[in-house]
Amino acid sequence: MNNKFDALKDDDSGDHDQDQSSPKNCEKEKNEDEDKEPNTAKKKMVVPGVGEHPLQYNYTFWYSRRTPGRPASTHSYEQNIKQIGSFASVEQFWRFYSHMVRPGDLTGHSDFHLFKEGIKPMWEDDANKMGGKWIIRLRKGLVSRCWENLILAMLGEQFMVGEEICGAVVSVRFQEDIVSIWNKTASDQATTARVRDTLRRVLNLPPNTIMEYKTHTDSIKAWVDFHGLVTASGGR
Amino acid sequence: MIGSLLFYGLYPLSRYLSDQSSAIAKPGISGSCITGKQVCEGSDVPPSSGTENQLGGEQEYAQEDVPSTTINGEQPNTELHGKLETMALSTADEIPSTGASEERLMDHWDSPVQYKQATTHLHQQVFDVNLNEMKPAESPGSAQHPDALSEDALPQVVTEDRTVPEESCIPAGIEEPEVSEVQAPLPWRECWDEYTEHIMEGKEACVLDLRSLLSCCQTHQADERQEETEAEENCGPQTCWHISTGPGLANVVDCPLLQFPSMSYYPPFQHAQPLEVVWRVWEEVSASHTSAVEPVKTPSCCDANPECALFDFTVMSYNILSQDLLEANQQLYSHCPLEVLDWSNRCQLLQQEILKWMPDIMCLQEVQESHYNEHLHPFLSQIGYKCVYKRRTGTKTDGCATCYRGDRFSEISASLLEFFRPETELMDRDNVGIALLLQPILPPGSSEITVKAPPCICIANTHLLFNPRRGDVKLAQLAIMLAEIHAMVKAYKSRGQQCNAILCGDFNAVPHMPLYHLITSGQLYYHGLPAWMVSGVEDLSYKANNYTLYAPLWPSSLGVTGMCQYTTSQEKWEHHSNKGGCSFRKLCKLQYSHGFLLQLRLCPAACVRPDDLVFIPCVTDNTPGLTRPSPPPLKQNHVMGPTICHGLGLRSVYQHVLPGLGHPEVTTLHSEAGATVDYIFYTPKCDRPSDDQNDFGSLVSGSLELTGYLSLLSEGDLWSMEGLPNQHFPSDHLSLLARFKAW
Repeated sequence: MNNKFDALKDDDSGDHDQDQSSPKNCEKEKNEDEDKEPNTAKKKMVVPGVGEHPLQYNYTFWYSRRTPGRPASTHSYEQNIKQIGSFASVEQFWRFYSHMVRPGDLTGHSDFHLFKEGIKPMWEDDANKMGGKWIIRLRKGLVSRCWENLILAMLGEQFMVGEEICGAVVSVRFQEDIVSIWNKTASDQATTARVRDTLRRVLNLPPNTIMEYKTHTDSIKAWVDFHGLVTASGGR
Repeated sequence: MIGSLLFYGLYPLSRYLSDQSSAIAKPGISGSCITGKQVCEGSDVPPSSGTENQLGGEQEYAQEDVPSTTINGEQPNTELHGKLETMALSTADEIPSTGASEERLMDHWDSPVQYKQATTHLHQQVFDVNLNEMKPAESPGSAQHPDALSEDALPQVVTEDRTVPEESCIPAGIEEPEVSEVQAPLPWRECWDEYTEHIMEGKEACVLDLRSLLSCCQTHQADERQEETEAEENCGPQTCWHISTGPGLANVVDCPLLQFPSMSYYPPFQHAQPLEVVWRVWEEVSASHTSAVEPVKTPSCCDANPECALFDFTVMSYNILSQDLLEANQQLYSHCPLEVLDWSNRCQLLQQEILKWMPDIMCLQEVQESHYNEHLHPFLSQIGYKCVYKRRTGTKTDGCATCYRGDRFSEISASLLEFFRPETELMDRDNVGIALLLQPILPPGSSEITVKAPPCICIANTHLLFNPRRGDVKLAQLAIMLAEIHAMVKAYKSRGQQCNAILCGDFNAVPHMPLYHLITSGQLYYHGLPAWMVSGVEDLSYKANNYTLYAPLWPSSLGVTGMCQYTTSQEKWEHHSNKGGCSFRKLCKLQYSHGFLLQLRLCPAACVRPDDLVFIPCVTDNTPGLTRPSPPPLKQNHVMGPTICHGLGLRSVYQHVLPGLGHPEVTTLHSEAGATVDYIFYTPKCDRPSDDQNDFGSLVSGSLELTGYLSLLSEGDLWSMEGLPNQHFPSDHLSLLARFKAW
């Protein structure tokens, strides 16, 4: 929002114009390079394409799958989670989404994560560490539609909680499937309440659906208790 | 001073493409009359004195000019040369010592004292030269050789009869040298960097400098027109009489001057005043009248034939030069005496000009808010105008004003546009625009004759960004303006009534460059275009920091499509930008409903596998499109491709070359350059029925007929009045004035 300042400073000189206009091109190349390293934290911004509908935020798809037989340490969690790609517009979202299988068709113990660009789907990320998530457990067969509704609501800024939303996760398990939406500030009850209400509305949930809010600190604690590892942490 | 000498010595280097040949021809004119025949011969037979120097164009010059001087034996001429020689020598001394950094010189704004002296003489000379650019009555020479035109010489020029004073008639043979130089513009052009040496060599070369200086004064811009212009100008200035240019204007000849042609090289400074030359004449467009007549000041609403003319009205576009900008850029006006820069004087001239033409609609730019409030608005209100004013945003003190005569129009709606949009990075400049929807008022008594009411008029007034490098910004600003016109016209037409559109103002873009092209042709493929080229005001191709336009030029969040129409959510964006509430905007700026998002699921862009999508078997190997039926295709105008277009069907009132000799018209001139940057565009009456609403969302089926306009002047004309502003014209722009008939 420093446009005004720039305008005053530089009204007719245009000397900074180069900076304004060229990034698109160089970024693209860098982007492709960095995509080869899935866990590179800092990704260059993607931009909406020609005539596309920009999203309020850029998002990144992640995919994770538990490797059978190995303990889920932080290390292995980070290794197992893969960035699938980032997008900045509605159209770009559909490009990724429609080339991904539906959650209901995933096999084994796998998760899709859709987080704002720059936020890792991990409890420890700065954006998440004070946060929490709403969890909805679904019986088998519902997850694909529910997940789609959830992320469309998130991308379309239907939650109306400012910058509170961090991302969404769908977890495919043996008996059930789980969708969750993460927000920044677990202690902000107005926000969490609004997120819950929006979830009910956009997911078309039956009134008796059980929704659970869990702070990430509780998740970490439970995880540590369960695994007994002092250094351990990790996402879902 | 050195810098200035450099500037004026080398300035032509950058400008030589435009019309140095015209400038060249002028010094040598010295009252000579040249026929087309001789022009031809000249090209083949170089003057004996100049043969050895034929390789260097400037040498040609010098040498050829000398013979002509001596031959003509005109004392004034030689004396002038002598004066200029002194200057030229001093210039020559300086020039070689510095690198001929064209860029630096181009950027140099200081106008030195020397230059002023030089131009004073030169102006006088140009003045005389321009006197030649008249519509001649009869010329023995040219009439005899109409067939002798060279390829370069345009037929119209040569075939034109010329008024040739007896004093200046010279045997044809003598003219040859001079003519030959005219015929060799190309070598001459390429040798600008060499001419300084020759200047130093001797006296003949001094004349060359004179010419280069002249070419400064004569800078024109229309590169694309250069060829024809050049040829015409070569032949044009050959006599010494000031007759207004333009077909049928012979009767505007200023006769008093005819009595002292021998003084042509000494036009007194005060010439302009006693001469009372009719600098700008009213041109009737209708084929039946070609005579120069005073414009109808209060156009009659209905002619004798009632079914013919429904409504006549005049429109003026005028950048009146804000005093604050004048003072901030004084170097542009260093050629002007202080008194012509004084606001009270300028204001008085402006008022006189308005009173003279009494346009029905006036679109003013660079109207300083304080002056508007204190002087212009009271004045205009008093003489019956209603005004709408919009100041530029930010700290700018000037803005646009659209004024219309309250007895001729009633206002249906008004939109004040700010092109500054904080949420869009591209739109960070403070320019504004005004769009008015006006309903013509028929005078009492005429309404019963006419069956239908005259169509209403959407009049748009804007002053686009100046910065020659930011063609992208200019295009986006223009797109908003066009979108506003479209919305206004559409809203009105939806009620089944006709509506014309007139777009005028200072576009800071020269004719036939991409921005102009977009307006007049309705379409522009901008992808890959260098940003500076959009307006073409300056050739910045050598600038390192130039960049290229890529699609999309502006984000869809601007609310304007590539078809220069508002997206339906426009009101929302306006609302936000007005509120300026940051958090509020963040909350809901880019909200998309579930249904809207689903519409895009199978849009073409979404069906292409992303290059960077990591391939994971059974996870990212889905094939899109199998699961759901394809949604209805998006409306095309939501997508901004590499092309901008609009369906308004606009045409320019001015043709950008002067009738007759084809000199480029200029609408603005200061010490650095002259060009056409102001326009009046209108929706012309179409002969063929347009199948509108189909391709470009064409909406305006125009019904305006241009019936007359106030002629513009060439750069040479203006320099002969000591540039702009001067004691006749209060601004560094000329007013544009056109009369239309609405059917």
